[in-house]
Amino acid sequence: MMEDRMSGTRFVYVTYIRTTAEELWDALTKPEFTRDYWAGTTQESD
Amino acid sequence: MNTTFVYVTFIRTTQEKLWDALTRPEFTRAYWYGAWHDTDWQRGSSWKLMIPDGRVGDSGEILEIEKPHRLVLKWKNEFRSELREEGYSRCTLELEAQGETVKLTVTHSIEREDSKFIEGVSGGWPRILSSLKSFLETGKAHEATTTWPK
Repeated sequence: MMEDRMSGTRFVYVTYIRTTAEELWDALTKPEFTRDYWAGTTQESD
Repeated sequence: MNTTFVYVTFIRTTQEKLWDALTRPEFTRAYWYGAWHDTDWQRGSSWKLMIPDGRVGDSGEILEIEKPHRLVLKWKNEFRSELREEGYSRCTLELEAQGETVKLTVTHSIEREDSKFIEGVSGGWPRILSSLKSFLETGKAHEATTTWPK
């Protein structure tokens, strides 16, 4: 904990979503889902 | 020095509905582990968060109330001695309409360093408020928050 506290600036947010880990993963990574809720953006990566 | 927990969530609802969901027993019981507020919601009145089995979970006072925008509670834990002995904290709930959503900000702080109480509420608020969001948006709270944990 002490190391965390000294390592600069960070933001932590916790939320509980009624879904499965697989569905949440897809919603966080797939363009067809992120476009819906992430201000229309998509992530580029393999 | 103090210890502070801040949580922000955006819920698709109105300020009035969110205010009612945060304050009325028939709603809080659904998503707040069965707990309900025992108070008349007047500034200066006593406030208690009641556990379903009849124990007082937390106690305090209504410091500020401005329906449906702002509620400030003086708040002390009652059901865990190591938390109770830390004394009073201050919890502010702010509701701000933003488009089709309401921005809810919960700020919970205590005038001491490394507070076990604030550590505790830091685990509790995200569970309660996530369930509240589901409750208001879908009509169904999260299963895990419908009864007081054993």
